[in-house]
Amino acid sequence: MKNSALSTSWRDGRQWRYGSAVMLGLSLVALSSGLARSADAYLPIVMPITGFLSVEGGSQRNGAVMALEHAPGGKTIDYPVFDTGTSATGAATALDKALSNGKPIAAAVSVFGTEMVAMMPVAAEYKVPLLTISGLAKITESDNPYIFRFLPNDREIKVAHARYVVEKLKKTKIALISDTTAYGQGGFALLKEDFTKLGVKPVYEDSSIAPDTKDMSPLLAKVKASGADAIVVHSVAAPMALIVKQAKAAGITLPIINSSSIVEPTATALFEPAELKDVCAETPSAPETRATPKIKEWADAYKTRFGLEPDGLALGQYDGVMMALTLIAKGAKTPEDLRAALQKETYEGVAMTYKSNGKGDLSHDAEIVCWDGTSRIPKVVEHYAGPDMVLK
Amino acid sequence: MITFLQLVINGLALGAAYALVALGFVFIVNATGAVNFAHGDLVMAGGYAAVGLGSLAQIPAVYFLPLVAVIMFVLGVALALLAYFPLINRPPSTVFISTLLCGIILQNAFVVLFGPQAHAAPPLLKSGVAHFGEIEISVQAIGTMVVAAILIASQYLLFTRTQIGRRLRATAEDRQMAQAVGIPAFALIAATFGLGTALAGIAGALLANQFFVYPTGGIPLSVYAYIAVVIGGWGSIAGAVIGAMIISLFQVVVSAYVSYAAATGLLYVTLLLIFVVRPQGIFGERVQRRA
Amino acid sequence: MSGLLEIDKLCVWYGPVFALKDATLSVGSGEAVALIGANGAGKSTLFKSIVGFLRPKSGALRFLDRDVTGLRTEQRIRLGVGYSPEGRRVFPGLTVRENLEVAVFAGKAERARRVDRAFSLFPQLATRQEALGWQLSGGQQQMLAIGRALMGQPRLLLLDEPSLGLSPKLADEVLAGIRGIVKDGTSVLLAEQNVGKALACCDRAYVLEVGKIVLAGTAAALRDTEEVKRAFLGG
Ligand SMILES: Nc1ncnc2c1ncn2[C@@H]1O[C@H](COP(=O)(O)OP(=O)(O)OP(=O)(O)O)[C@@H](O)[C@H]1O
Ligand SMILES: [Mg+2]
Repeated sequence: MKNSALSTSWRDGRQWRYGSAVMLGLSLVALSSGLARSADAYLPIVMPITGFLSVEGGSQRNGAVMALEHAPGGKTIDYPVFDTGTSATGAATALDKALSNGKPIAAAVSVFGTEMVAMMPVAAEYKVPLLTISGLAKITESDNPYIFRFLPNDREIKVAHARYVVEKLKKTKIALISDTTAYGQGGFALLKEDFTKLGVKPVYEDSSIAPDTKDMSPLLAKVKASGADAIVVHSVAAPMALIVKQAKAAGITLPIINSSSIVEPTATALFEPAELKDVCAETPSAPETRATPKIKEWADAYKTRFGLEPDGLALGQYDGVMMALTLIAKGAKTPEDLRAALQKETYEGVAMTYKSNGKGDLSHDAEIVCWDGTSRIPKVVEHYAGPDMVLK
Repeated sequence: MITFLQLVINGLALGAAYALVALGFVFIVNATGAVNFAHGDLVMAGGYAAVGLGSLAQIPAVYFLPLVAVIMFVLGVALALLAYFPLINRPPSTVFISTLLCGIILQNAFVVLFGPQAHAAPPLLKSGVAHFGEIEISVQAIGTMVVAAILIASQYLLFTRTQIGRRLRATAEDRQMAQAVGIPAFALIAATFGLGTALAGIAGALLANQFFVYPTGGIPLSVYAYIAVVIGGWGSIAGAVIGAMIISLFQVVVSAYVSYAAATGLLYVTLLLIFVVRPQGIFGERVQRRA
Repeated sequence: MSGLLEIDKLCVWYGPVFALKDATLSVGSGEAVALIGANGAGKSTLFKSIVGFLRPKSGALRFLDRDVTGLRTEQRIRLGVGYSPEGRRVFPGLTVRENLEVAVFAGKAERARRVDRAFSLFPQLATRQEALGWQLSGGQQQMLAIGRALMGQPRLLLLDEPSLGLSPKLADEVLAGIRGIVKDGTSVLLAEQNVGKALACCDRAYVLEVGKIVLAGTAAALRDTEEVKRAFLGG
C-alpha cells in the first residue's frame, strides 16, 4: 500500500521544476474552436499544450493528431485541441468545455497524472471514454470504466527495470539511487520492493539526491566504497545526466541502468555519445530506435510530418487514438459502443498489441534499451510483456 | 586519502562556480544596496545565451563569452529600469519582491524560448579532464576557477582602487548625497545592474556546461548567493567567496560522509552557529552608523 | 553686482503645507550671505530646492544666468554648486580621503592636489585620512562635509548649519574659515541659527520666518534692526 501512495506517473515528478511558474500555465485557451462542423465524429484533444509539461503534451498531441489525420474507413473527425495549462483545475475545466462543445465519442487526454485524477469524474459524468498514456498507477485502479491507457503503468515497468538488472545482467550488488521528487521517490519504493522479491538486497541505497545537486562525486565515492557492481537510477533528467556524466568522467565503468527520463531525445542531447557507453534504460516504447520495419515507417512519417524525432509518448498516444478510430470505422457509433469495444477488442498497433486487462490498461509492454557509446540512439536489448511485468 | 583530496578539489571547483554567482550579487549589493532576487535566474539567462550562441557556432565558449557579457549587460539595464528605478524610493523589501517577480517572468520566458528540458552549453576551452598524479579535475572546472579568480580580483580592485568604484560605494550608501557631490547616480546604478548581470551571465555560461541550464535552475543559485553573502559579511567580496566555498564544501565533502540530506541540514546548522557567534558575518560589516 | 544665484518668488510645499512662500533672494559672486531663521523657518528647504532634492511648486531658480529648475542634482552641482547639508551626511563606509576623492571630477594629479588643499584647510582631517566616515567625531565630520563640498571648486557653497552640534570654539573656527573660502573665489550662502556669529562673518543676510523672507540687508544694517535684536540677539 505504501507503494501506491508513493507511485506517481512516470512524468509526474517533473512538475517540481515548474511548479513555481504558474502564470503561463493558467491560460486556458482552446487552440482551435470546437464549432460543430459536419464530421463523422467529434474527438477532442485535451492536453497540456502550455505550461511545464508542454514538451510531453506536445509529443502526445502530435501522436493523436497524426492518427486523427489518417482515420481509417474514410471517416472525417473533428478534433479541436483544448489546453489544460498543466494544471489540475485547468484540465477539469478544459475537459468539461471540450465534452460539452459537441457530441463526443471519446477524448484524447493528458499524460499528466495529476490532471488525469481531476478529469476522471468529468468523464464519468459525460460517460465518454478517455484515451491516455499517463503512467500514474492508480488511475486504472479506481474502478472508473472510462479510462483507457496505452502505455504500461509505473508498477509494471519497474518490474521490467529490476528484472533486467538481476536476471539479464546478473548483477546482485546493486547501488539504488533516486532523487527526492515525487517521481524519484515513487520509483525508488517500487524498485526496492521488486529487488526484494527477486532476492536481491541493494548494497547501497540513496534516495536523498536533491534535484539541483551539482557535484555527484560524494555519491559516486560512496557507491564505489560499497562494492556495487551496477548502478540503478530512477530520477528526473538533470540529476540523472549528472550522475552518468560524472561517473564516466571519474572512470567508473559499472553499468548504469536508468529510468526512462534519459531516453527522451532532449536528455540524450546532453551527452557526448561516448559518455553513454554501458548505459541502459527502461522505456515503454522507443520509436527512435526504429527497431521494427513498422516502427521505422511510422517514425519516419512522424519526423516528416512534425520535423521532430518521435518519442514513446507520441507513439503510445498514436496507437491509442488509432485503436479507437479503427473501432469507430468498424461500427462503434456511441461513446458506450466504443467503451465496450475498447474493453474487449484486441488491437495490433505500431508499437505492440493492445488488449485491456479488464481495468483499462491496454499496454503491457516495456523495452530495455542500451547505448553502445557510438551514437545517441539506443538499441533495444530486451522486451518485457504482459505477465513478465508482474512479480509475485 | 586520495578520495578525500579529490573531494576537496571538487568542492573548491564547485565553490569557484558559486563564488562567481555570488560575485554579481555582491556587486549590485555594494553599488546600490539592492538585493536582487532575480540573480539566479539571470545566471540561467547567461547559460541560455551560451547555449544559443553555442548552437549557432560550434566554437569553445571562451570566444563568445564577451558577447554573453554584452547581452547580459543590456538585460541588466532593462532589469534596473523595470524593477529598480520605479521603486527607488520605496523600502528595500519592495525591490526584493519586484526582482523576485522579474525572476519568475524570466523562468517563464526560458520555458517558452528553450522548453522545460535541460540544455548544456559548450565548454570554455574543451571538455575532458586533466590529471595531477591520482587527482583529476575537469578542464572546465579549471577554467571556471581561473575566470572566477580574475573576476574576483578585478572586482576587488574596482571597488577599492578606482574612482568609479568609490563612486559606486558612495551611491550605495547615500544616493541623494552622491548626486549632491556631482555623481550621476542613476546612470551608475543602471550600469551597476548591467555589470552585475554580466557577471551573472558569465557565471551561467560557465556553469551551463557541466551542470546544465533549465528554467528553474536559478532558484537555488539565488539562495546560495544570498547565503554566501550573509555568512561572508554583507557586501564583502572576500566574505562572499568564503561563503560560497563553505556551501560547496558541505555539498561535496561533508556529504561524502553523511547523506546529502544530512549534509544540507549540517550546513544550515553551521549557518545558524555563525549567526549566533558572528551576526555580522565572517568578514563583518565594515560600515556602521555611530550610535 | 552680477547675480550668481537668483531666486525669484520660490514656493515649496510639503503636501498640503507650504514651507517656502514667494522667497526671493540672490547671492552675488565674491560675497557671503547669511540666511537666518528659527527652527522650521525653511532654511534647509531652500537649500534642498537649490540642489534639486525638492521640486518647487512655482518660482524661478537661476544659477550663472541659467534656469536650473529642469536639471538633475548632479548637473546643478557640476555647474559649480557645493553643498554641505544639515546633518553632514558624510559617506560612512568611505575613508576620509575617499569621501573627498569621490567629489572630484578631474584627473588623478588634480584630484590629489585638491585633497591636499582640503587637508591644509582642515589639518585635523589630514591626521585621520584612512579613518572611515562613521568613525569621525561630529566636528571632524562637519569639516569633512565642508571639505567635500569644496572639492568641485564651486562658485557657490551652500552651508546648512555648519555649527550644529559643535563646541562654541569649533563653531567659531568653522565660521572663521568662511572668509578664507570667499577670498578664494567661492561665494557662500550660510544658514545659521546663531545670528550673531552669522552676521559677523557674512556681508549680507536674509531673515526667514515661517517660509517667508521678512527682512533683507547688509549684515551691518541688520545687526542694528530692532526686530533682529529682539528675535535673535536677545536684546
Ligand atoms: N519632509 C518634510 N515633510 C513635511 N514637512 C517638512 C518636511 N521637511 C520639513 N518640513 C517642514 O517644513 C518647514 C521648514 O523646514 P526646514 O527644515 O526647511 O526648516 P529649517 O529652517 O531648516 O529649520 P532648522 O533650523 O530646524 O533646521 C518646517 O515646518 C518643517 O516641519
Ligand atoms: Mg534646517
